[in-house]
Amino acid sequence: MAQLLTEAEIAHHQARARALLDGLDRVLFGQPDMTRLVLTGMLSGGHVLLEGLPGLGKTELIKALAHLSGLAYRRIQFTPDLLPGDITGNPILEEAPGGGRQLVFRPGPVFANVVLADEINRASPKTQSALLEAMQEHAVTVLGTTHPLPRPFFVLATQNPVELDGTYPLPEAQLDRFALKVEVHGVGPEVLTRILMERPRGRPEAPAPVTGPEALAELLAAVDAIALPDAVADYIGRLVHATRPDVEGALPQVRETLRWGSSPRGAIALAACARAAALLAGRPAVGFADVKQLAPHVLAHRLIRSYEAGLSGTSTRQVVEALVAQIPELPR
Amino acid sequence: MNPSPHLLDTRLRQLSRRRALGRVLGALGPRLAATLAIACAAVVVARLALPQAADWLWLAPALAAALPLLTLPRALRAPPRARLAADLDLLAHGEGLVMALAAQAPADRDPAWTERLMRRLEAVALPPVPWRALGPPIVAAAAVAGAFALPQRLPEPPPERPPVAGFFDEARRRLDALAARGLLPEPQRAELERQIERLEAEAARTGMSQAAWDGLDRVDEQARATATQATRRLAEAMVAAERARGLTVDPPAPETPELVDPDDPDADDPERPEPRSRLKRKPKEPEPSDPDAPAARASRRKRLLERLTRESDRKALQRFARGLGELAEAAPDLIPRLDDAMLDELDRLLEALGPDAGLTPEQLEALRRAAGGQAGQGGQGGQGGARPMTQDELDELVEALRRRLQGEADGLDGTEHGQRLAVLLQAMRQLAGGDPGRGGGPAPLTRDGRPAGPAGQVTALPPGLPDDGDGSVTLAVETRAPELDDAARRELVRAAAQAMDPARADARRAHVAPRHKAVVGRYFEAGAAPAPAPAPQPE
Repeated sequence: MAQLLTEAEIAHHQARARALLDGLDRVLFGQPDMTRLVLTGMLSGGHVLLEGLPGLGKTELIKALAHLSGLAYRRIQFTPDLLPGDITGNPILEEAPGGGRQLVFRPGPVFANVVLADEINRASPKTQSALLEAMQEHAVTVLGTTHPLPRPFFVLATQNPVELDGTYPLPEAQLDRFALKVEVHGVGPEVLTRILMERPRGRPEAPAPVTGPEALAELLAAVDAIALPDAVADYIGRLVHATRPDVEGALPQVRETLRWGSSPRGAIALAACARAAALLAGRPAVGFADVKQLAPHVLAHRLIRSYEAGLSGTSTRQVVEALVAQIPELPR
Repeated sequence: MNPSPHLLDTRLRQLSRRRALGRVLGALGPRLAATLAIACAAVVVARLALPQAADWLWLAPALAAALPLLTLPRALRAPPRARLAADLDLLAHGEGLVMALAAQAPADRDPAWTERLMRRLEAVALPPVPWRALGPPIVAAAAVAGAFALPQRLPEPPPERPPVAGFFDEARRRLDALAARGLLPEPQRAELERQIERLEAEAARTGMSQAAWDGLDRVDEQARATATQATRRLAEAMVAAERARGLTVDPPAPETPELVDPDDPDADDPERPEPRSRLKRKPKEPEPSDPDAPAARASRRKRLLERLTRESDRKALQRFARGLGELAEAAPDLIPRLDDAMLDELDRLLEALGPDAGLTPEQLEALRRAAGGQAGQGGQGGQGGARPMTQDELDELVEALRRRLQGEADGLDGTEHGQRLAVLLQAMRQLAGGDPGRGGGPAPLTRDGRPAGPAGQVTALPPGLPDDGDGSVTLAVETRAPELDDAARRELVRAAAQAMDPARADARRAHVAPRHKAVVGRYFEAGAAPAPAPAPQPE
């Protein structure tokens, strides 16, 4: 195993991450777990999908995260008539300086460090698919020309789970690109009272940046330096493998409720998120608790329920939680 | 400075030993309980039902304790260090730090992280030893001990066989008794002995079966038949001899029933009825129609008497000479004490007997030497005087010898010479006074001339001459079949038919117990072959 980060290094990076987290908590009251998950997903280098009812602060959270991190931020409001070019950018015919005309690529809103894909399920699948290359390859190809996106690149998307008329559910390939899917729930009366008292107009002030692109890049590198012990990696592998109902030895509950399990991308995302969580906790290595805590958020949206599970109301999150409870940390 | 670089490794070793102990107990406990339970069942079964396995019962708990040990190597196999570190990380709530540090060499570990982990490692609680796993084996071992406390069933003794040997020994004793009395010839006895041995061997294997009882009964029947036949022949011979001697002295009265000699050529007289036995009494009825009948009967009686007398005298003389020869051979100094006249008479006797004397060449030579050669000279010179000795001369010689030897016998009583003298004196008594024709007194019956006890069922011949008071003479005492009425005869026939018919064997067995068959057989045998009754003791 490579040399561990020193305690001082960990403390330094944890302080930066804590600053981001504290800023998010100041923007979004009463949602510390959600803010921590969002930050974890961002630090893991992955993309985050927030699902919740309107008005819960999803958009404000993402905007706050963009401001806090000091990264370039763009917002794309997905609508049914949105075209892929509206996201990726379009070539425009312009007068050349020396005479004549030429096609000049004008980058779309996806060319930013933080992209807010608001209500992403309202765009057509064609438009949604425009994000696939950007999310996976951090590049956009238009008219045969690949345009790299700025680093770091994060897609933070939101979707409304109830207003399904005129929406297009995200395809499995698109969902698999998101490292985390965070469900946003409502807050209690105390939080609401605090919101009313502290934000008479309901809109928080834009937070001041606590990091910059360079600092965030260091933070991401520190996350990659977090140790992943063999036993934890084995546990992640067994946990992800257990989500597949088509393999020998699959649990009966998995066979009954799932039609398709997680891809290896899910295991990779889980390990990355666990590293980020360990860094946030100020530890140089990933523990089993990190994996157990993040597994439902990382794996649930990658699983495809069976028809019977849909009828019975069993969610994929419940399945993953059951797997976490059943699969021991150490093989027997 | 690394505050405690080796604490992590120490804890890992402790955890490894504790886990190994737990694996051993976890592996041994259930297996040991199972094997001991099986051993307990085996011991219980052996204690209660398998006495022949008592000597091997100790193997059951030994194997039960040894077999689970085969799993020990696998249980003692240490897991990989990464797994052990993960285990300790979970126990110490290291949240990955234990695993990360355990993967590094102690010298490479960050002291800050080690210090941070030290408190957790010091407070870590190693997993408890699963002593509970020993509960079932202990219970099973106690059950095994309890099973050993059960009383061991003893091997069942072999089923007691009926006293087979007793039955067959008794049969052999009967054969011996018959043989000792001279009633059972040696070939028949040997054959019957073989049958008894065969039956005993069969009975030893299968017990006293009905076939064994039947076989024993057949042996007894054959022995009894042989003895009965021999007794009958002896009685007839004795009766014939007595009759012959009686006729020598006193011819029977005309009313005496005629004795038929089977060797008599006149016995083929068609007028004479067919004899049913060798000795038959005829009714005392005169035959007025034939005036010559008494003369013919007297003539036949005389011829028979003469022939029997000659044979008897010659046999007596032969026995006498043989006894004298044996005496002379055994006691050469005894004969020379006789006076010359006696020796001369003795020489005449030897000359008269000639080769019929029954003496071996050694005995004859010893006798001649005892006579001092006088007998030899007399013999040679007495060729012309080799006339047969008269009865009077013989009596005188015998009496003289008897008187002479009596004194010798009194002094040699109990010795071998005394026994020989006693035999010789007995023979002399027969020649001098034991003969029915030479006076009263009983004549002891022996088959070889030696004094013996009761022979068969006839111990002595009846007195010879004295009549019965009515003018008749008792020539023989016979027993005959019991007087049976018609019902008894029918039962006799039926019983005989059942005994001879194999198809009726079951009925016979059903009604007659094997131990009673001999009695029943003897009862019905009496009707077929009358056994001779013991003769009355002479006065």
